[in-house]
Amino acid sequence: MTRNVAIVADRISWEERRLIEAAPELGLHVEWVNDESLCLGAPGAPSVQDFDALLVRSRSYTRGGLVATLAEAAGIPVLNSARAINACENKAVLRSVLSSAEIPVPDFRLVLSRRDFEKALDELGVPVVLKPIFGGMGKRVTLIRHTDTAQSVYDYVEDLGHAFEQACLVEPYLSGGSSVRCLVVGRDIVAAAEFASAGADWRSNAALGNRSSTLAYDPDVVKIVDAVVSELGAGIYGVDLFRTDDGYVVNEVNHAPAFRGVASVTGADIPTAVGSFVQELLS
Amino acid sequence: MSTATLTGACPECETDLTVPPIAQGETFSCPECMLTLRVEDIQDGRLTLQMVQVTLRDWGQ
Ligand SMILES: Nc1ncnc2c1ncn2[C@@H]1O[C@H](COP(=O)(O)OP(=O)(O)OP(=O)(O)O)[C@@H](O)[C@H]1O
Ligand SMILES: [Mg+2]
Ligand SMILES: [Zn+2]
Repeated sequence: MTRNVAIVADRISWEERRLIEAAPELGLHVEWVNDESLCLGAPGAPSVQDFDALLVRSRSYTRGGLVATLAEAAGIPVLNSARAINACENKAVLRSVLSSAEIPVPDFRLVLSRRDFEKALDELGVPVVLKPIFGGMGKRVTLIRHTDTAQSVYDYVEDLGHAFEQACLVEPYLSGGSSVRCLVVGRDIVAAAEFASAGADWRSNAALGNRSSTLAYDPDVVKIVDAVVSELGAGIYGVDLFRTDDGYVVNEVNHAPAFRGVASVTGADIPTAVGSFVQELLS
Repeated sequence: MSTATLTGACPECETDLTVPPIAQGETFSCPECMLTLRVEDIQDGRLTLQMVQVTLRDWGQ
């Protein structure tokens, strides 16, 4: 029996297209459902009640958690869970969820004002990274190497940010900006690669161009990723780690991870892994 | 059928468009006015298109 799965997103990109294409062979029918026209809230969630499960791939940090919360409340199986999405959408909440579970995260300060910013600089010392609590694709993530430019950088946050867009984290600059990205499906790492800056930009996101290499099996990576999955529940995650002298720390977890980069470096068939996981959950 | 090109018109500049196979929900930019168009529906090889922002203001995770 073919199961119907909706990809909830505002549009279909490379990753979603691959998931749709891989579906039939796994006994799934996957189709796009626009995240901006579900009008959830009515009992039974009429707009999505014909689906056996929802795969929330909203890139928006407001929509994903809301849609997942209401669909789940209406009894529709949702991936990832509303709890996991709500935690991942907010970099500060995620860090505290992980810390409470004794999973190492970078030291950080919540910065809501210039006074916080000054205090954070004072406590952590340069170089630091300033980043929005709600954000992605490396946008506005700023490396501050000199205290004399720090204040003028903060002017932009103060003048151009609106309300919650001003909420930031300040944290130490770790591992030269390189990160280890692990794609988790279910409870397993299906692909892992190390990303370093390509030179033109200090950041190492796939969205910004980078150098990447497959990661050899590393029991410390497995251990920390296992701990993250135990805390958030089985699902589909991009777990982003920094390597430090004291071991790995979790920078962030993406709940609707892009996987084009990590798939091309490792050759892993991520769409099939995701489809099989969904099929397993439904059977 | 699924390999045939699809046709539609840009809702913004009204240019007639012929595009390679594309699925519901995918986006492309109008070669004429450069706006990003999303495929809302496909009926008998005919596309219904809607202009969308290149990225939404609240994108990120
Ligand atoms: N504390 C840090 N130390 C060193 N580099 C960092 C730090 N925080 C962020 N970076 C760099 O900036 C990039 C983007 O930061 P981060 O992943 O936190 O934000 P994002 O906008 O959510 O990105 P993503 O596209 O990965 O979701 C990281 O991949 C890394 O290269
Ligand atoms: Mg992110
Ligand atoms: Zn046009």
